[in-house]
Amino acid sequence: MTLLTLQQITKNFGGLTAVDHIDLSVEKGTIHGLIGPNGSGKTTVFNLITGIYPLTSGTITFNGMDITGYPAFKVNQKGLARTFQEIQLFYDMTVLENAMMGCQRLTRAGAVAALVKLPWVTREEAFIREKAMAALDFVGLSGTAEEAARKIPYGHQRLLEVARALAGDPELLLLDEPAAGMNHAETRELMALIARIREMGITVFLVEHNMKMVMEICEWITVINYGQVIGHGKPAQVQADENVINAYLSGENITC
Amino acid sequence: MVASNFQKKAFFWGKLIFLSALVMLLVHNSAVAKEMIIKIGVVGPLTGQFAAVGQSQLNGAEMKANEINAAPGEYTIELISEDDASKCDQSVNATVKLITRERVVSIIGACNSPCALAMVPITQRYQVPQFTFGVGTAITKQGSDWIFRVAVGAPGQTQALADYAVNTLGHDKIAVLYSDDEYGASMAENFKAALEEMDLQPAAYESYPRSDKDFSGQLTSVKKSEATCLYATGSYAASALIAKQAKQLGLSLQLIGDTGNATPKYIELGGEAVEGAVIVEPFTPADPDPAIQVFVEKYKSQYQQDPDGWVAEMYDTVGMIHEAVVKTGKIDPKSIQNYLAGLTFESAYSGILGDWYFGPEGNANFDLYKVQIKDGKKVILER
Amino acid sequence: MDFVTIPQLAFSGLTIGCVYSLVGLGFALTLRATELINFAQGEMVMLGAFIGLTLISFFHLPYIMVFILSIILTGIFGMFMERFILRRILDNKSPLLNLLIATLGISISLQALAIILWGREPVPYPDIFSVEPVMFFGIRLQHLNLWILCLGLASMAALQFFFQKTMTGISWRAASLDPSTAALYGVNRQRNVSLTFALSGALGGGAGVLIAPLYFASFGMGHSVLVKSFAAAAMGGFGVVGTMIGGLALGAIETLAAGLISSEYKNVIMYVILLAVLMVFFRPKTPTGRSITEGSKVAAGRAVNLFSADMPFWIRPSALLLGAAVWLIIPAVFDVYTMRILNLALIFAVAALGLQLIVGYTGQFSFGHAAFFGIGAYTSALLAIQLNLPFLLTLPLAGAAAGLVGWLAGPLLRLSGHFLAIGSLAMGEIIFLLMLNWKWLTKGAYGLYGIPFPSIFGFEISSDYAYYFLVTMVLGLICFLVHRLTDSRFGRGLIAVRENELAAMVNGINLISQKTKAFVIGTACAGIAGALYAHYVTYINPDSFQFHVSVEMVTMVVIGGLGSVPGSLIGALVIILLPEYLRGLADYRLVVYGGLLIGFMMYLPGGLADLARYPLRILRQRLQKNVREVTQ
Repeated sequence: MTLLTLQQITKNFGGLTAVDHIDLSVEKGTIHGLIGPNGSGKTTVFNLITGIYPLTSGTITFNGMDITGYPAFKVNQKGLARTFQEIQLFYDMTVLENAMMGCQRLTRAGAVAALVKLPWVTREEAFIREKAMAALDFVGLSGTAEEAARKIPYGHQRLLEVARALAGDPELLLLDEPAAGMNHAETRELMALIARIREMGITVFLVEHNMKMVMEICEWITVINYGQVIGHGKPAQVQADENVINAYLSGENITC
Repeated sequence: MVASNFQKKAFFWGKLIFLSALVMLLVHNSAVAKEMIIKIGVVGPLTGQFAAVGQSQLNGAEMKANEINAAPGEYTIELISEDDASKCDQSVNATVKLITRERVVSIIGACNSPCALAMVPITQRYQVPQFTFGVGTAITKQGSDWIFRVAVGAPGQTQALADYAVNTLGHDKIAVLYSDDEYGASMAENFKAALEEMDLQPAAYESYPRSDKDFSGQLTSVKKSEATCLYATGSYAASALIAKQAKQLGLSLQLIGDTGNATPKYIELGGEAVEGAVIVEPFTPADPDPAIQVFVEKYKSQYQQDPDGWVAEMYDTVGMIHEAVVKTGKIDPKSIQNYLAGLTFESAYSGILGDWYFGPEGNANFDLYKVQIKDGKKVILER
Repeated sequence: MDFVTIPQLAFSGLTIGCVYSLVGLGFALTLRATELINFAQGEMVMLGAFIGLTLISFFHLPYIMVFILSIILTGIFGMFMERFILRRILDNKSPLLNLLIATLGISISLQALAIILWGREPVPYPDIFSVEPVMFFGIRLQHLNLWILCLGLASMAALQFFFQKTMTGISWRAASLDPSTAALYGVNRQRNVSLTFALSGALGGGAGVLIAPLYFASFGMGHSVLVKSFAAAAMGGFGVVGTMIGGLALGAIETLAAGLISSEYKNVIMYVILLAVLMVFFRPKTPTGRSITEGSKVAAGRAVNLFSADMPFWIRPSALLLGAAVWLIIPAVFDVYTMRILNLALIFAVAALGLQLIVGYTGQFSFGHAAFFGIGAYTSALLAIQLNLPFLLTLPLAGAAAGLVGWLAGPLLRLSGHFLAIGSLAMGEIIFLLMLNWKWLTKGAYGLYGIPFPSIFGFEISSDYAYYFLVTMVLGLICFLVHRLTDSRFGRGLIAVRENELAAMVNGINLISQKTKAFVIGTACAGIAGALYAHYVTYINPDSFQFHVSVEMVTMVVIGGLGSVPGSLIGALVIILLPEYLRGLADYRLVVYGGLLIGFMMYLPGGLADLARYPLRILRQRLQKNVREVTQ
């Protein structure tokens, strides 16, 4: 079953076409990789899916629902969570509070509820806390729950972003270069974590530079260059694809 | 960036010094009381936009107080001045402080009509006489017996001005340009009413925001209206600027002005542009009367400038309060109020501005001078 | 209308516009280099004017020489200001708002010093140029105005040359676009910042020498060009060329509007155009930028909680008891005057709490809070005077009215950072101008007098003591509500918006709706405070609700501590009490007041709430230990 479908999505920045009629679909329950040389438009695709930029044309379907043109917050409410290449945390909040922010889509107490504070609001607050703690536990950060997010080490900040995304029980998790800046050991741990996430039934769609990691954990890989899809398939197929090799030869080595 | 050890130390000591300075400020305080002293509180702006007016108010009161204290007599005057920065909150706070803490028997102020107005309920509640040269009509319409206006109010001033401009100078196309604060609006509306009584309408009626310095837009409307005479009211600095800019735009207008322009500063700032302007004022240093000349010389020697109307009004106010105490033999607010409210044409207090007595609402009334500026000096046209 | 009028007006407009451009450029430069809105920029104008005056009247130098010397001297002054005051605060990594308050302190101190040095009255420049104008197709071109235009445009051209063609200028531009990359290429940031302040000081000083012959030199002269110059810079997008055009356009629009449309509404027209320009051209496409509270320690969720579950059970009741005792003792100890100041401070604390929600929690600039305070004051006063409604009804209605206008102003929150700062300022000024000009409703500049004291169940609350109880009860209720709001899912959402808009939106936060809600609640608080104010002072006029009051409210929030509810109370107390307390210092009062503001920002960057953190933490540790011992 297809969870996410991109049909002919295009994005123009001024005169520049960053994403050019891309078709792509992510199957439910898989780990799907999006790769391509630097500047090929990977992050832009993520930003288009999550509603950070409006599309120039094309449609996006998620879970059978047309989410084209949805603003970012609404996309998240439909069950799509993401992390960023450059970590985006709420730095002056605690680790726990950061994770609690991930539960927005599951909860509903607003300003009036906060003022009146009926019993269900208190229950909901406890539920949020529970979900957040569970997510922190899952990534192994529950020990630093009360620290300020600014204070924890870089690797942990990356994990915290994942925990925050997980706290809302998303159906699809978008990871934008999750291994960036990590050393070898940390990368291995991350790969294990991603595998565990998939085991929970969450589909993972990731952009990554680390080819070894992508080839190892992804079931499906889509390759883009200059905003266009140049290859698609299982890791082995992609590795053998001539177009892909050419694209990478001019840039970097695919087997690094 | 990593702060060096020195920087950290410097920060620590700086913080320590700052905090101890804060504590020292919190600890300091003082209050002393004496007897046979008439305590008068003076509330007015000594900072902020209208600081110069507040300074005139204080100088006038101070000059008279010094004279009384130097002369032989039973009573001495102590002035306690508070700055309100022409913010009405601060005027009221200062008034409460002066009355409840310093136990003053009279309050002078504030200089701006709105602030003077804001003080009226306070002086009424605490039953302390309040003296102000604020011209706003509403000040004396609050039903308080404790407010005395020691100046000619807006209606009186504009009446005299309109009458003189129309009947003596022969203008029937008069443009009005006023600042959009209480002073300007109140003067302009009363002036308009005075013209209407003579079946005239202002040729142009334009306002300007108080902080503005460029009036070419408004002056264009004045030019279009083909007015021959311009009444600019607001701060004296703005009126001087208007005169200058009108001249630069090639307008030749007869300028007229109210007591707001009755300060030598108006001439200093306006220079050639205010030549020929006609102003109504309660007091003029040009009056050859020897008593006035003595006063002018004395003020000049103390404050290095000509006294203006505000100085003279406050000089007389302190004189009046002193006389009330001397006549009744009591230093208390009630007897001062009683005595001054009881003054009549016959028993009037005779001051530098003439004879003082108050109408039922607490308004003083006296004749205004009409003066013209010639060669940078004021020449009396009539009184 | 003859065909000379419009060019004639445009000529005057461009002259003053040239000055807006110069001062605005100073704003734009400091803002680009340090993200700081420099409130002391206006005082550079004043300094330039007085330095110029001194040079002319004592040394009889020619005008050009005076212009150049003043530029150099104010430039040096600007550099010193950065070196000895602002750099320290920059180095502390304090929130941007702290820097802003520090420049406000500098501005206040400099004005007060100018009074001591040069007196309170405006001083005219000697007539330097012939008064007879040059005639040009019937347009009267004054020599002085021509000089201003020429020198102003020449300075701008020189500046543009400097940025485009010199190495220093190019590296400055690089550093302002991307400081970290520029640093890699060897651009010295410190030197760059110094250079910026020198340049903006020089620009201000130059503007001062140019306008003083037109409009006199006075201690407050900087204030009148401050807002409009900032507006000019914003209209130009804070770019160099943009600001030049923005200033000239603003001057021309303003003068033409006054001459051709309406002098009463000329400033309204100007601010509406400004808002339109901001909304059309400067709405950010994607959220980015540094949080304005970044670096505030209290905001960092590190406030000490004495009421958490691990504390002894008696702490909450005893804190309540202590609070109640203090609450009852205060009126028994203090005299009428103190009570009065205290009441005013507490009323402002209600408004400051609202602002805290907007600035401290949600991280949005607001320089128009006083206008909402005013809306509340006018609503309640008018309802009480015209319709005889009881206070218990007018108080919530005042809050509702202010909140409603806050909601209408909601779209402004699509702006971010400094554009929001100037946008909210413009909105505040528009509301102020409407209060001034809707005479049928507000009685305009005369204000409303005879506002009745509140009467609750037949009890007239007229004494300062009775009012104390009324105000503290309202304040207590609002504190409680604000605490509940911030300590909830909704409150976390606010803080998330402050911390990182991008992360907030991908986590399901509707930015505009969240910001608007905070703004509505915050402005409603201001409205309630306004009602309390109106019925206390019994006389209101538009002056009490102007820009400088908004700035005062921001100062309260920052001095108290960003993101701290008790901080807002302390801040309001300090800002209202301090000027009253310093009365004894007479002329030096405002010098000291401004100095204290600077001192607070230099040495207590986290606000006064931060000062209480350490003893509270010790107390907490002590108590926790006791609990452990007991349980053992």
